[in-house]
Amino acid sequence: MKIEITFQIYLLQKRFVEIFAMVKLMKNLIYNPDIFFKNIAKKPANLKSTLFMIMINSFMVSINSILVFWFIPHIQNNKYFLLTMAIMFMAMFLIFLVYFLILWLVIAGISHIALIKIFNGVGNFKKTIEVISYVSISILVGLVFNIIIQILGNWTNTSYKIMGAISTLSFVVISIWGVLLFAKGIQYTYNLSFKKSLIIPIFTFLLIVILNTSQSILSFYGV
Amino acid sequence: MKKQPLFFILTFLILILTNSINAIEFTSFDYKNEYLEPGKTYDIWVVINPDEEINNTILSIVPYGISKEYIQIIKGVDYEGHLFQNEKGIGHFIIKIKDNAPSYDYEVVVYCNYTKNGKQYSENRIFKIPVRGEAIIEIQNPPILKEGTNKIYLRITNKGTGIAENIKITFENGKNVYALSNSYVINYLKPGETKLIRLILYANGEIGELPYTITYQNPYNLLELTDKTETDTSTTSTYKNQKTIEEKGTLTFKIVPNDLISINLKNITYPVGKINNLTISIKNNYKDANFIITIGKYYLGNNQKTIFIKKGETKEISFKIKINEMGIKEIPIKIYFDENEINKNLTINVIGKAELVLTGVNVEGFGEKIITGDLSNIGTAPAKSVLISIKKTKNIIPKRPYENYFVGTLNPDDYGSFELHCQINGTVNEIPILITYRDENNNLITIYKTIKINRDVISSKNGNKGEMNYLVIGIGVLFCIGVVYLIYRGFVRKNND
Repeated sequence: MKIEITFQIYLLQKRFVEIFAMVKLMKNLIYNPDIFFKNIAKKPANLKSTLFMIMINSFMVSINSILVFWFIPHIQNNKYFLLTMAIMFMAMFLIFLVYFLILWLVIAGISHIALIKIFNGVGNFKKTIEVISYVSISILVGLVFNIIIQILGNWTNTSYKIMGAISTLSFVVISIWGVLLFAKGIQYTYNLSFKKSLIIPIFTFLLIVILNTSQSILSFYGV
Repeated sequence: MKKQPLFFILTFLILILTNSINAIEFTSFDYKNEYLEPGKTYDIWVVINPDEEINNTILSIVPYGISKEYIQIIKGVDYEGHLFQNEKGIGHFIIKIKDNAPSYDYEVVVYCNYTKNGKQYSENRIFKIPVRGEAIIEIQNPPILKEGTNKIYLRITNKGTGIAENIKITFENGKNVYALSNSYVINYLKPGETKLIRLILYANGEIGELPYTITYQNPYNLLELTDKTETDTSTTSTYKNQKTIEEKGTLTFKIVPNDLISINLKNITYPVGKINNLTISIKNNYKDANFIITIGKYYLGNNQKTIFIKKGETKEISFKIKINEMGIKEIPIKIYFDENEINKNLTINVIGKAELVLTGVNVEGFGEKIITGDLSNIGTAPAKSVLISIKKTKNIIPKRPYENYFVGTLNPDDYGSFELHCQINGTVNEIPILITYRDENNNLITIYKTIKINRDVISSKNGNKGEMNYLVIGIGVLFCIGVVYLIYRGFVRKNND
């Protein structure tokens, strides 16, 4: 018994250590992306964290989307409001999960082929996917901010114009950050110079902007 | 010789009868008048003349038959005592003819009880008392005259007990009141009977007096004894004949202005089946008075109200009415004030009315609004050619083809759905809606309504909660600065190093 409990505690401790390590990694990613991606490039590809990031991303985008419906007036008077919202959330979560999976694979694939063929880079496809998942941290931060702003704005009766402006501003800043992070990741994964590696992320970013012709808040973060 | 025994018997009988009965003789029965009148008290004298000496003579008077009801005996017994032969005995009685005695020859029996030679005897005789009632004519006139020409009825009543004949009433020119025709004749008036005279009078001023002379006749000579002289041989009586009676009097009127009050209705058309206020305005031209106003139909709750109105003032009074039928209706109204009563009919027009309301309205969409709902007729008349449209304003632009919607005819209790589209720019709290329809008389009626939209969806509201907005903006700006700092720290600074 005693041994078992000790083992359990050991496992729990291991989990905590892992989480701490993750947090430390994230801290590095945010404060010092240069060192972070250098370390990542040395390590073998880890798709576990990629899957985890996809799930978190889908979750956040779903919350962000559901909030738009949540705050539509008169809908809350519906008898089955909470049930509808729950079902919608689940559906959105699954849809975004698949959506992100495909999107990231496409982005990673295009980037990988382009980098190898055009820039003669040497890199790993799996590694590229992992890099994209880390880059999505920046979008995650933007989403969290957007959710907070939506709740706060609705609570204080802030007009949609102001909220839209703030969202757009944050999107621009976050996009720049994301592009830079992506470039940093490519730089170390494919052994390219930073300026060269910037071309692909900017191109990807422009592609996404063009694809999302609709200008709603949802579409910015639905990437 | 066969007849001798019969003759003998007859002679004997006559002898017996005359001897026993005719001991006294009633010589006179006197009441000093030709006729007696009801309600008066009379002295009656009965004179007897005995043929023989009699004792203990008592005279008494007793009404007979129907007379018992109408003749009251006040003094009915008179004691005479001893009377010699041919000594006149006078009995004095007092009777009263009751007030309600009709004209008739009443009968009384006078008894005379006496003793003669130790034996008691009673003799009687019936006398007639002719009662003739006197007519008493009373004239009643309405107390109030209006200024100008008045048609009034005079009530001529015979309050007496006798019939009055050839009644003639003559009017003279009076003070403030003038009769347009001078004399009137009524043939007869039975006791208790009333006849009306239609009289046209012209009145002017405040108080009017109209002197009149009335003459009428009793159908018989009503002779009253005024003087009587008696000698040993004869009696002379002087009578006053009251057959024809002439009386003078004055009719008094109060003269009031012609239009005492004027009544007006504030509104003459009323919607059917609804509770309405019937407001009546009353102008008082008469004098300060309390007015009691009563309406006789269609009222709800109280139908009588009292209001004090000063002279020259106009006041309004309201009753709650409800009429469930359409058409021209009359409401009877009664107004009492200062002993006057005015009856009038108020004419009102009860009409049906279409009443359109918006029900189940739903507004959808963000930029382009889609308004759906029903237009319901909750009124009592049909609405024809109902058209609903959005009124164009600076911020609201109706969108084709749903800028208007034709609903058609809406009967009472009917409804029709509609759909409208519009584009909204800027701050809009409500969308103005225009509904036009034709009523039963083909009049075009336009109604303006508004549909409120929830502010959260569209409006951009500033000012009211400005500080909170600044908080949100502040957080947003701080976040962006934070991210820019992170970019600077992660990329720019590193490169510089």
